[in-house]
Amino acid sequence: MVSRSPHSPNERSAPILIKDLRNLRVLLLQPKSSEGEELWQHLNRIGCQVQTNWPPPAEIPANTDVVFVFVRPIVEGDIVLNWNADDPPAVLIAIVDYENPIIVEKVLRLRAQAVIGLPLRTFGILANLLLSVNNHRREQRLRLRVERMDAKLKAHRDIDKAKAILMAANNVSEQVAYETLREQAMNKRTTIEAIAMAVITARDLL
Amino acid sequence: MTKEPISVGVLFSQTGVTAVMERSMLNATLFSIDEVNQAGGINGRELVPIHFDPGGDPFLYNRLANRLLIESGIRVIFGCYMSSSRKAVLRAVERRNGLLCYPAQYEGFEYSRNAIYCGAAPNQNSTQLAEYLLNHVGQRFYMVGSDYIWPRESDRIMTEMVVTHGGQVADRGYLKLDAPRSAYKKLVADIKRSRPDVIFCNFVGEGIVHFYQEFAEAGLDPKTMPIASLTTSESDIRAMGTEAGAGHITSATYFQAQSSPQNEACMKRYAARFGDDMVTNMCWEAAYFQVKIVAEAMCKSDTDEVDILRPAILGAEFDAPQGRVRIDPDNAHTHVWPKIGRARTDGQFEILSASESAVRPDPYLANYDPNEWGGRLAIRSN
Repeated sequence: MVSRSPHSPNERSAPILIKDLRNLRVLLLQPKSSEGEELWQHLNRIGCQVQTNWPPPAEIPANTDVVFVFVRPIVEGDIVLNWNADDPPAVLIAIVDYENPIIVEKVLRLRAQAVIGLPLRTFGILANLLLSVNNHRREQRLRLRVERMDAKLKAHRDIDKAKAILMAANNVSEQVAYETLREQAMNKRTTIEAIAMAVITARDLL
Repeated sequence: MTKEPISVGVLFSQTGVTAVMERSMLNATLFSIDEVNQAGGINGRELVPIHFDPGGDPFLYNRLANRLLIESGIRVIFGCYMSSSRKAVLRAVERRNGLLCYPAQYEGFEYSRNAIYCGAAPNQNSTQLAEYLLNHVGQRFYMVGSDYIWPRESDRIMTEMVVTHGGQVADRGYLKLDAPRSAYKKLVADIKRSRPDVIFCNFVGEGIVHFYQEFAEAGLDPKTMPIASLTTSESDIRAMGTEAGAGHITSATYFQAQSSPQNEACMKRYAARFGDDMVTNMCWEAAYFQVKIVAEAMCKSDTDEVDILRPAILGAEFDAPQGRVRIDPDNAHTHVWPKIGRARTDGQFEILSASESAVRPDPYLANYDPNEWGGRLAIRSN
């Protein structure tokens, strides 16, 4: 599996290259059809590790890198594809034979990272595959960064609030209020954020 | 049974920078078609070649392929040498559901429902050449070539193998397909200064002749600094003069001098037609056997309709001059017999090592791991 630890901070930005194709685990969600068969053959030809499944499994198997899904049969058959578009478990590549509003909307809702049109043309699948895998990883990295920055921002606000409470209660300067928080954190072997939260909660109780 | 002939298209350039090689591929194709007809044609129907000369120009390859498919109503085209011309013809056959039969080594990373590939993929010539050079020649490489995609990709693959093996690339030199002779002289002067162990040469067409001649004129000795190539063939050596070619190394699936009953019989027939001083090469051979494979498939399926014909080609085998070849049913490339040869003073190649079995084509291979060479390739030194 290529994206072995998608949330590990040290994976950094090394791109997935053609070299890595043969480690990619691909899940092909397709009803029995000649085009599905052809796509399966081509993914094998370029050397991916391909599993195929229909109807889609209740859960996408762990360590899947890329999911190809035929969109029209999902829409027409009212088939449930358990896919969390907000935090996707893998890359999603949609295979479509219509570009009408129903199909396109479904593709957008699933937040597919690439689209392959039918009739199938083998040229372009390799490039689409690598682009979408790399885009997916970049998105994951950015999301992780945003989460960390959100947490940091909240911590700063909490510390400011706690400082204000201490300054008013003890009639001390901002510097002294901060030192108080820091000493408490060190004594209790916890973070300044946690102490700040405790101060805020305590004030709310009064 | 209808006796209406079946026409096939033939697109090889008789003019332009790659004319030497492509004329030889044209002769092989016409010779092979003649043999098919002498043996009774396609179930009694004559195979009729319609040949145009695209002059080495990709735009003309595309236009002439379309003319063959539309105006002449043909479905099968034998042709192309450079990748740029193959890409140009692919656009036409994919649109009109024709079939391109391509008889040249190329850089891989391609598959089309409208093509079969009869030349070597990089895992069938580059890998073997790297193994030979690193084990028997040296570690310090100088990369040169004509400036288009195939030479660049071929260089990239060789560089990867050289570096993985602990070797190094001293420098690189690329020249335009129509570069003047003086540019080759300048490049050779730089190589002389750099003194690599080996030059990996991806020139094509006239570039090969210029480069080897300048190399010899500069007094560089193939015994201490050979040129190694995937393209330099008997035909190119004939064009440059045997003295300029002698001692240099080529990796190919076929050499004219190889001894096998199939090759010897084929050379006898070819000489009877073209004279004793005829010359053949790896692309000549692929152009020859691909016609036979397609003709056999046409006999079996009794049509040149691509959707019926192509499945009959996939998996087909043939006793070619290089050895028994097989069209891979999964990737439509050919199982071929890699060999390493060194040019002799008579312009023919002494075969230094040869694979003991046909090597499976892997056109999408991107990892060239030297640890896998031994197990996968079974190259034997004679």
